Amino acid sequence: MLRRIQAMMNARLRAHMGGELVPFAALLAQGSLVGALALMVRNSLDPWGFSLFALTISAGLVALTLLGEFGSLLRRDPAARWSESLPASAMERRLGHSMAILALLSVLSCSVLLPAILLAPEDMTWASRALLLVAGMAQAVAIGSLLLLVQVLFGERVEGLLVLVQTLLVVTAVTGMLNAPALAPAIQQVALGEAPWPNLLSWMPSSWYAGLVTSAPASAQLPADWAVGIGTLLGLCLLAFLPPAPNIMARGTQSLLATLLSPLRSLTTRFWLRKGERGSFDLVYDALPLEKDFILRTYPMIGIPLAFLLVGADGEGGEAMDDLLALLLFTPAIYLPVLLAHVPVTSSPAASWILETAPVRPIDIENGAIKALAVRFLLPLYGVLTSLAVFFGGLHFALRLALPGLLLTLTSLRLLYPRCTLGLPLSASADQVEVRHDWTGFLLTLAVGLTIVAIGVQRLVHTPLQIAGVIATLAILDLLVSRTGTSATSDSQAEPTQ
Amino acid sequence: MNSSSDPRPALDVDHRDNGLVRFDGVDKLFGEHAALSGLSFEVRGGEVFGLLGPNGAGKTTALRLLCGLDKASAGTITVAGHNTATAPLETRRALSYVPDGAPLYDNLSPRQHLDLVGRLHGLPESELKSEGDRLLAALDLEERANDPVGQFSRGMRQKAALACALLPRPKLLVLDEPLSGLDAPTTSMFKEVIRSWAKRGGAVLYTSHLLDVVERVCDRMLILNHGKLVGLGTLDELRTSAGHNGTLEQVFAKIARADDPSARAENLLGDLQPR
Repeated sequence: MLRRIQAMMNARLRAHMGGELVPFAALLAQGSLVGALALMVRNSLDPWGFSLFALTISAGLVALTLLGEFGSLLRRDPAARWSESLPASAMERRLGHSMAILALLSVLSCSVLLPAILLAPEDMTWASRALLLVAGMAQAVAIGSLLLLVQVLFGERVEGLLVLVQTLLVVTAVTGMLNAPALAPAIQQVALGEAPWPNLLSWMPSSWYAGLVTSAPASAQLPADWAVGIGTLLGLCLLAFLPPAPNIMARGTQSLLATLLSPLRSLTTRFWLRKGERGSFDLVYDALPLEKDFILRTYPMIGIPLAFLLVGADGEGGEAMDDLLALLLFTPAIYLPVLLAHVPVTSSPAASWILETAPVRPIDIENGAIKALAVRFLLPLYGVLTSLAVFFGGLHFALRLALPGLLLTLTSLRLLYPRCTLGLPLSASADQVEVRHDWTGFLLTLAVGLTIVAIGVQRLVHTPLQIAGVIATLAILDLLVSRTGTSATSDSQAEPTQ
Repeated sequence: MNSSSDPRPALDVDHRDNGLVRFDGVDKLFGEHAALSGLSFEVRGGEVFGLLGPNGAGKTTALRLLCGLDKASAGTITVAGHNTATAPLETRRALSYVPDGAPLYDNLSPRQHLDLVGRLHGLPESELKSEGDRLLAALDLEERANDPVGQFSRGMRQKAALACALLPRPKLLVLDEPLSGLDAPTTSMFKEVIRSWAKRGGAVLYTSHLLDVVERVCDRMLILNHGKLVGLGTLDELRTSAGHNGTLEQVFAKIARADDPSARAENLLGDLQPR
């Protein structure tokens, strides 16, 4: 029986990792990040504070990983129909699946906590460090079981909820990192009893598990250790006995957002699309928002500018706030590479023959995709950003900057698409998507340039004439970029997509 | 599909005697491995042409070169007079391709796939709508026209892919294993569609391992083995070439020098016995 369970566990892990048992690259990246942060705070925190810090980061990374790349591990085995015919009982299969999840959770939490353990404060004993490792794994079990429960309960409707959770996690992660220098001393004050116990900490699982590692502050309001232990055991049982979450079936229904954008789509197809662009426009517009991997890897990125806004909005006002809002409206282009890199992502990569064998020029496919991204993703994003700008800065402020910001982002989209999108739209599975790593210099230049433009427009452009001038300039720039792209490829217009 | 009541004119094809498709000395190398070597043949308008061969013979490679999904290392391929290397767009306008398994986008419906293919081929919206509706109705997909194909059975997906292939009225239909996994009624329907398309002046080039079906449907056949042409012609011509008057399966085995299946089976099973 043990051999069968182990065989099923190994097969599940290998199938998930594409042949590897351990995703070294991803773990190394996570461990390095945690190590760097641990070095920053190790001299500012006592053992409890450090445990809280390490377990909080571990919780975030484990949750993000289970929501993203390793999400399929919680779902039904795609080869279930075959594996169910093998001579293994349902219990053995379930245990094999559960062992695979536990193995991965252990590896994930260890990769985060080992650097933290090695770089812990000197007054943290090795026994406490060992307990920290165990607490991290227990916390990972609790997180994994909670996510599994949510997916089993919500079924196919869980996707929107998962994207929301992921976005909130990204916002929290970025806000936390930006505030890290201030957070460590604040935690230390709580640990020493010099500051009151914040209610938020009572709700954080990382503070519950930190209490298992070493004594929490006297003012702490935490569940009893035995309750945390029972909760973890319950999580373990859920992982062992809950059936895997259902695979998210193909969805063909139009979302509310797509319905709201219908008039805009009609206008676009009538007045903006050229002949030859309609096919790829439709494909990207209709199919890309339905791709689960695309959604989970890109939508949460909206959390980054929101996090910056939250951090900046805290106590800020006047010119500084206006500058921050201007950045919000002018710098979404910096996050476009992540979006664009995943335009080829699809759960149906074998269907790429439809575009590959189409009698359409590559430039038309590219332009159609760009226009679909603009209408389907950028415009709604700017709807949200403009609303935030109205809320924080007033209507006049928003009207002054939103349209120039949108135009600039559109131009950036045209410039970035050929650099960042490697392959046809919807032509590769998520793990086959190539991501370029030579963006750094270009993105840095783009970030600096956009920041300068944002602050400049915010501070210098006030009158309607000035605003009209900026808009006209940006519109001409966008036209030039689009024409340059067309003429550059017109010489090779007969070149097929492969 | 009731082809006899279709009012549309037959395809305007002037390639009944001349090759609609021509492979001239085509080589395809993957590193040092020659997937195709000196392949030369033609497919005429109005005929159903079978491309046969054991696994790994080069059939799919040949189809991929034909459809412009890859480039030949040497030689030329023309479709309706257009060179696939120098005029790929014109080539693709002349053909429709359905790969093995009819892979489609799981999240899109048959209607959305038809709209996509039609617009990629530049069909007018009015024709797209009317012809798309007609094809979906004829293939019994009308009621599920707006459901994502990811929920479809294999046969339904194949039908949706066939609709996409027929919509642009191609001169050449390229079908890779179109009948595998289909139920009997759907298989019969597909065979009739293949025959009818050829009767209307188009050409059908298809690969299949179902040699009994190939024998009944194809006008001429080409047999590939290890990337080389080892047999070409009608069934009678292949029989003459092989010196064997049997079924296509037997002729194929002789020409492709396939191992005796009984010997292979014995070798595979070895000493295994049911428990």
